[in-house]
Amino acid sequence: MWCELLILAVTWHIDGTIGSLVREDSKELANRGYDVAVLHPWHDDVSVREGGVMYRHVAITIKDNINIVTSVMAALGDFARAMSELFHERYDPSHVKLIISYEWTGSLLGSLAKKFLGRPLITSIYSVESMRSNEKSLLSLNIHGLEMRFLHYSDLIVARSGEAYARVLAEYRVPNDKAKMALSSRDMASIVMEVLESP
Amino acid sequence: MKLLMLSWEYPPRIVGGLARHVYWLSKALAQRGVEVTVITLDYPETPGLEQGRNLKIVRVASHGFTSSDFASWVHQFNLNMIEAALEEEDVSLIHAHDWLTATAGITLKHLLRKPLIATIHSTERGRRRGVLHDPLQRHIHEVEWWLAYESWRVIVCSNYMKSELMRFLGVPEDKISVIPNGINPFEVKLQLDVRRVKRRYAEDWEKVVLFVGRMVYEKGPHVFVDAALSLLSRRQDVKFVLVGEGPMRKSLMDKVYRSGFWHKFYFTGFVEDIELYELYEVCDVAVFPSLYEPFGIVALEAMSVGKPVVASDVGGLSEVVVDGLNGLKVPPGDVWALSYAIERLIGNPSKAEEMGRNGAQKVRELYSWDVVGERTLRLYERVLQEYSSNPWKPKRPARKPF
Repeated sequence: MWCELLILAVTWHIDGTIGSLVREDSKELANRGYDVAVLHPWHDDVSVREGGVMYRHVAITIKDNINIVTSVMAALGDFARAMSELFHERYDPSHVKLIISYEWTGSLLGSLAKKFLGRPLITSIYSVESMRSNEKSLLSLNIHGLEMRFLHYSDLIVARSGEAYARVLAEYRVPNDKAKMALSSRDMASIVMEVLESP
Repeated sequence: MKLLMLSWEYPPRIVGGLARHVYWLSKALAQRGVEVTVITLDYPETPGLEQGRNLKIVRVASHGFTSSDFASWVHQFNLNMIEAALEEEDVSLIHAHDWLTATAGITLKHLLRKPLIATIHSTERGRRRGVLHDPLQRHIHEVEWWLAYESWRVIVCSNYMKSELMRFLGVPEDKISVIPNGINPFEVKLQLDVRRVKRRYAEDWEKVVLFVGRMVYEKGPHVFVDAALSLLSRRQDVKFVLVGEGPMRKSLMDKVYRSGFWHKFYFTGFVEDIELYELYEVCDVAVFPSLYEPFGIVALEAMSVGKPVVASDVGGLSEVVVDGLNGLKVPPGDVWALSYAIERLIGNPSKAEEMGRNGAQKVRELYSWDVVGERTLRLYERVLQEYSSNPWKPKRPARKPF
């Protein structure tokens, strides 16, 4: 029953502003005929189909964490398990055409998928660390470093606001031709289609 | 059989005993035809890639990223390990050492759908004497639990560690394999002028009693010093040599100085392997008064040189030393018992010599890397056999599906 144009979306957030973006983007892409599978943390390890989108829950094992960086990084094994099971039970990995990750948290996990599947990675950025925090704590520097690493590892950055777009270019030195802006899910879906249709 | 071995230290990066363990184990396995790729951390002026016969060392970056805490740093270099490991083709199984490579080991297990084996050399709760005080310690403990949970088999170095894993991590007994650490008996038997070497540390008429270990509480250097002072109150023909560095060294030196017996002690600090071998050769008794000891490799080193040992009846030491056969065991922290056990051995050289011979024989039979490599290989074969009849496998080639 599954179509053969799978988009794998990876996110740490499934609620709030980022969660809304993930759901809206996925729905828009599904409406355009793509099969979208979204990997996100949850309390169980099952798949739920909603509005043409497959939501693959990822149960997170490590609960005792020091901060958001250790939380996300320690979850790599959980995401690997979920991805492996998704491909084993439902999809042929060769049907994945593209990976979309959300924020640095998702791009950390998305980069793993890119490395494993050898498919392009688009990272959606709603905000960067300097927009969220004024402090120069070690944790903030750590997150900034991770953002730098994964923004450059992504094939395309899609900023979801003007400010995010400006900061991605200025603070992270992402080349102009690797960054785009999408203010709506419709814009996002158009960018994704453009990438998929490019040679 | 192609093996991915994951370790955060590998010579020349030596932090503790793990580097030497992985070095000798990889070598022993490679000699038995296993194709071993060790993924480890970089080290200054050391190539990122070394390729030998059946043994490949890949060193990934341990720096170049900001880390807010130790755990974040560990997870970040694990990501580098995963990336390097995914370049390897046709992996049969993955072997991770300690929680420090758990993230990479577990992630690779699921991506490649290949069995994961873990060696847990010690546990965070054991190192913290049963109590976890802060978020980092609790995080490490949980990651250790996860590593054990995800592993097909867990290797520990002693029955003591086996019981620790059962108690602290809830690992079922039948999932744990006890394979002792190997030791590399000092291979080059130097043409040693024992008398000349001994004169660097002691007079001809003095007996030499040796302590080797980090100067930290769990190794019991304070128990050793107290026992030495007690013995010196009864006889003065003994010199005590302490090898090792650590935070307790200065306070122990002060204590010895204040005792008036400062001329009966020699604190060497850290020494190179050759000097350590010389010290084992010239000593009359080697003493290991640890209060916590998962294995006790230094006791085996002394035994391999044919020296009798006095050791605490604790942890892995308890299994290595057979009381009255290759040494004497004393209750941990018991200064009086330790002092009299040392006296018993230096007062009876022929019995001490016999114990030394027995110890050397035990090391050859049970703890050589040949034996340890063979036992580890047998475990790998068993796991692969179980895996072959298990439905959990990659549906298609494990990676690079395109």
